[in-house]
Order: sequence, then structure tokens, then C-alpha cells
Amino acid sequence: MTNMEKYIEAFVENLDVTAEDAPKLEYQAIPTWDSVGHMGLIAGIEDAFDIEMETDDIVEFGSFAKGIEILKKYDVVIE
Amino acid sequence: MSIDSKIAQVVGVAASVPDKQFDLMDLDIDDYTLKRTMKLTGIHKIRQAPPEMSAADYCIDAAKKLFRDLSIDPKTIDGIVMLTPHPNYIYPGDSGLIQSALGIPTKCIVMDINHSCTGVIYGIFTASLLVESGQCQNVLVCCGDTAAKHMNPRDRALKMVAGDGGSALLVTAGGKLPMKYSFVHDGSGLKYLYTPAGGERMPIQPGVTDIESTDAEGNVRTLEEEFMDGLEVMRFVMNEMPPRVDEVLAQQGWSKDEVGAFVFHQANEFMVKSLVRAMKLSKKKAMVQVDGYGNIGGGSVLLAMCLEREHRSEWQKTVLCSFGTGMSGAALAADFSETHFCEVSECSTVQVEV
Repeated sequence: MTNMEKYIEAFVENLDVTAEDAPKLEYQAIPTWDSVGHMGLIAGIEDAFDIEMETDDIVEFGSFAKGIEILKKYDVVIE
Repeated sequence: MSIDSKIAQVVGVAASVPDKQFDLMDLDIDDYTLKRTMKLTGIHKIRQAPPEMSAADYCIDAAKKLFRDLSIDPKTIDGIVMLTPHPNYIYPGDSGLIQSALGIPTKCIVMDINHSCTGVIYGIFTASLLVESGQCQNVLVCCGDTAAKHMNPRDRALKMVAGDGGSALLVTAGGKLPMKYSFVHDGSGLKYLYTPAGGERMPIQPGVTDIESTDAEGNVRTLEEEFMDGLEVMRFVMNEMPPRVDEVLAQQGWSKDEVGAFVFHQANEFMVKSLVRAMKLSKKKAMVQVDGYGNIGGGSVLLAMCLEREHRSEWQKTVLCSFGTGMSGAALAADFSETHFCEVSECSTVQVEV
């Protein structure tokens, strides 16, 4: 499984969305990506890539695209 | 224990909660959201005070239990520190009501401190100053809240975690190990956890402050009800609290492995587990006691200690860590090995009369 596939799967599993919809998502744009869903999503991403994100990065993780940018800090390259 | 020691110690701890549980599934929120939130917070039921009950009622009930268990004559109490953001009256505070309700002598220092979730550590700190200065011998610290009354039933950010209750503890001289503290406060974060209307800045105005609005996550509230930005609270807690714990450990010369119990403010299960993970602490040493009670505010650490009284024996090196509105935070490292922990009591009757 590629990093992109793992990344999308975290959104699908934790936010109850389809793989096709995931790349368009932004925080609070859908009911399931609220603050509760956010914590589940972050936990899923941390597990998927075996990383531990800084709190500021967790708070700034505001969209699918922003997440890809943030994950570079943790040497996770998603292409 | 040296009777000549002026070192302050906590000799007993008690907690009291409403006698009835409220099932969060009964909230007017869809089942999917309720279950998803419960999974994260670990809270399925809370204790919610009826309209006529106040934080002081639960604190007094806890103090009575403490006095009974330790055979303490209220006439020996010469100091009271009460901490709550929701007193019975706008003024004065509740400490005087507690003094008269418990039969504590009028020759007594009483004070009220407007603190919420961080309250109990401020209370222990203030009581210790009174004892170690020689001004007082036996100081009763009460810390409680009935915050659940001040939240909109459709605000799941708060309504699904907050419970009501009170706590009491007694600080005297005679301790062996000085208690060590670390505090942090950032007033610029007040807006992340507060009640906008009802004080001097924004008086209650019918038709203005009581109008409901819905936020981006579907939470409903008025300006007269509590507001919380959960992510900003988490940012403060995760950035500020681990250094506070490290600081009190360093002051005591303890390693994390040596500590027998870490007692974090019981905000919710996710928050406690996040702190444990970030600080790389042993899960077994960090108590999580939220289900069936909810986050009862400043007294939550004492409630957790009382609930775990029969399951733990390692209290000699204990770290308390509280945080919340302000934004504020505090940590305390102390020896609780000779502290009496009362069984949690349940209260259903008003304890204060004017």
C-alpha cells in the first residue's frame, strides 16, 4: 500500500467518507470532520505512519491538502 | 511524623456528587454523534445537579464525610478556602456559607477564589501558605462546580463531558516532605473557555444574550452559556502541562518511573491518555475516572483519588496536574501516603441555608 493509499484510508475509516471525496475535504466542512472526528483522524494517521504529531500540527491540520504538507515534517512523503 | 514540623500536608480528601446519574444517550443529539463522541471521551453517564443544588452543597457534604472519617471537630478549623466559578450568590462567595453550615468558629480566615478546573491545586497552595506562615492550624479546602447547569443541552462539546460535584480536603502542619508546585497562566486564552454574558462586561440582556446560535460543528448555545474551543484548549494543555509536570518532578528529585500515581484533571479519557502518551508515562500509574461522573471541574482529581482508594497503594510520590479555563494550569508533587481518602458520597439535599 502506498503512502497516499494509507492516507486516504485514514480519512475513509475515521470520517466515514468515500476515497473519491477525501482529497476535497476540509475541517468542519462535513459533519463527521468536527473536533471529535479530528482526533480520531489524527490517531488513525499517526498509527498508519507510526509517527507522533506535535500538538500545533494537530491543530493546524485543517484539510486533506494541508495534512500532506504537515506530514513532510515527519518524513512522510505522500505523492 | 514530627509534630513540630511546619511543613503543610494533606491529611484527608473527600468528594461528593449528585446521587442520580444522567445517561448522555438521553440528550437531544443524534445517536451516531453521541456514540462517536462517547468513544473518544470515555464518558457515557454523568452526575448532574438538580436546579436547587450548588457546588457549595456538594463541598459541605464532602467536608462532613471528611470530618466524620477523621473524627475532626469543626471547631478546630481556622481557615477555609473555597474555589468555584459558580457560587450561590454573585457576592459574597460561598466560604462564609460553608463556615456557618459546618459550625466552624467565627474566628476563622475565609476566602473565595474564582477558579475552575485548576482550582484544587490553587486551594492546596493557598492553604499551605496559611499553615506554613503559622496563621492557621487546620485549613479546609473546598473545590466544586455545577457547570453542567450552565451549558446548552445541544452543545455536545461541553454537555457530553461536564458533570457536577464537590470536594473537600484538609491541610495541616506536620508534613514530612514540602509540596512542590508549578503554575502557568495565559489570560489571552480566556476566550477559549468561558461564559461571555452575565458579568459586568456583558450584562444579561433578554432578546440579545439569550438568543441561541449554532456553530460550525452544530453545537447550539447562547451568550449566557459556557463556550469551549476544544482544539485550542487541547493546544494549551499539550504544550503547557508536560513542562509543569517535569518541573515539579525536578523540584522533588523524582524520576517519572519513581512516581506511584499521576492524577490528571479528568477532562475526558482522550485528554488524559494524550498527556500520558506525550509524557511517556506508565498507563497504569495514570488514573482515568470519568465514566459515570463526567468532568466535575476542579474537584475531579480528588474524586479520582477517592474512587481509586481501594485499588492503589503507591501514594508516597504522587503528582497532581490540573488545567482549564484561564487558560490556566498547575502541577503539584507531594507525598499522599498518609492521606485518608474517603469513600465518595452522594448528596441530594441542600446543605446551605441563609
